Amino acid sequence: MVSVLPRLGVGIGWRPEIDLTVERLPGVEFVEVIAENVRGWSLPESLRLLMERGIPVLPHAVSLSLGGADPVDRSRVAHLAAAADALGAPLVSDHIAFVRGGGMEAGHLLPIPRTRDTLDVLVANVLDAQAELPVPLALENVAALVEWPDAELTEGQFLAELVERTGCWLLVDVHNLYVNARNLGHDPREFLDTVPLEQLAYVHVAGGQDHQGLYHDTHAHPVPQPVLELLGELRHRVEPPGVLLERDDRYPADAELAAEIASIRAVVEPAA
Amino acid sequence: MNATSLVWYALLLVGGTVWGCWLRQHVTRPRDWLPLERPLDLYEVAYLSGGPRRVADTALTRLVDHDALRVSRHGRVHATGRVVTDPTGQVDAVDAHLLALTAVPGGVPADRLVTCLAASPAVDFLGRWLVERGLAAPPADVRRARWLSTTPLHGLAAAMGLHLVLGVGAHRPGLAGLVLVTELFAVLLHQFPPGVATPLGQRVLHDVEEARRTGAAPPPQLAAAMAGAAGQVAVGGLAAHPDSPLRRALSRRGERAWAWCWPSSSSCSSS
Repeated sequence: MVSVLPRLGVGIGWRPEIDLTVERLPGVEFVEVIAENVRGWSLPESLRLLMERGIPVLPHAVSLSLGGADPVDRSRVAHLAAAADALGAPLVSDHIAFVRGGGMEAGHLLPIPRTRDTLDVLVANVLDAQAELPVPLALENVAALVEWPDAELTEGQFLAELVERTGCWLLVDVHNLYVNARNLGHDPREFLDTVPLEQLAYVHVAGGQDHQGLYHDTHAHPVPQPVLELLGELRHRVEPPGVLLERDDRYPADAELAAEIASIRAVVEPAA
Repeated sequence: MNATSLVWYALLLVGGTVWGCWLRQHVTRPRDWLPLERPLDLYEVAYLSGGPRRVADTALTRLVDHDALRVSRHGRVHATGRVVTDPTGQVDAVDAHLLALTAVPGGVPADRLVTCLAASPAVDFLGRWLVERGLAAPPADVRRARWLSTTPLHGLAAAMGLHLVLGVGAHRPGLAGLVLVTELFAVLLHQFPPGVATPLGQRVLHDVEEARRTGAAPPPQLAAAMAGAAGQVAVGGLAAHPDSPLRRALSRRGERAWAWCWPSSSSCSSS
């Protein structure tokens, strides 16, 4: 496993709906693609074009269910490994969550209890997955609408121990930190103070919306100012190797996406 | 088939083709007209250049240019939430209809949008306005001319097909070949839609094109519109779009759903 990851810069999530936009947006230095949608033998023309330009394309998985009690599905890990190979990616990622259990698919990234027992299961699953992957694995904190009772660790402590025991990299989603602060009262600054930011692979930034008294991680709305401020807090602690804008629906005009990328760059590269 | 039959066949084939071409020419004959009270706008130029579908292609190109619509490489079109207005703050009726058609989760295939917009009341109104001013042939006449122009050729192919089936002294392989050739002529003729502009409309188009070339087109708004990709598509069709990936995306031909066209339909998001 390599000890240093490349500098990625500022990027955006590649989606088929905005393929031409992503190709033409100024200032896009890397992109992320949903790993489950990648077929190595038939990459979309747009991704091939980006790769030809030397833009890193990172596969981001959503279905490994590393936090689940079931053993890791080796075919899903193999698919992620194949995607990394096909894209020439320097790393891959998934979430600290579970998406299935007892044969049922949740269709959603569900938070896991922050107990030592759960951490043991998660560590075992992550080590299993890492053994099959050709590149480093980064894991992302998720947004939660509910919290499991009897937590033994804060989210920051949970992730710090996960990193220590597996050597995995961190994909910090600052919008998810904001969501958890809004809905669950978590302290995002405590999170940033606790996790080993020297293991930071890159950062996710997104937008959300209030709905029926809860704030939702929609990826369909503009990045709110408090999230950019939180990104600034992270930037004070460490220079993130990469920051990626996630947008999955209600895509705005190209100019608005470009402005969002410029806002992110202004936070992480203040001298630019 | 003997030589006499072949001569008759050739005469009928040539006659049918000449009839078809004449009918297509005839549909754009000069008509009664009202005086033109203002210069044409971009979509009217598009209509005269290529009919309702050209208007739809032009509108799609224009709204993509203005960031109001986004097209993916697979030819799926999404609204971005932007609205394009003229200097008085008005939204063009064609643009408004196109934006309404795209207000569907998941987007809409470009070719379906073109089909629906070309058949919309907004484009129909635009066409009628041009017809009243003697600049364009009535759309119904154009459609009829397109079908009727190929009727003699289809008839000839049918008659020869009957001979083939009945086998009346026929040389089967030769007859089958001639049926195919005749149908090929008919299909080719049908592939090229008749022109829309009358001689008066063609003169107006010529003036617009001349002015565009010399950069002196009045009014300034039309000059600005004609200068962009939408102007090039209006005059030359999608093939004239200067941006190759966008041209390919907008030209993609996929599913055709005639049942779906209007945003009020409950089947809007079924694609």
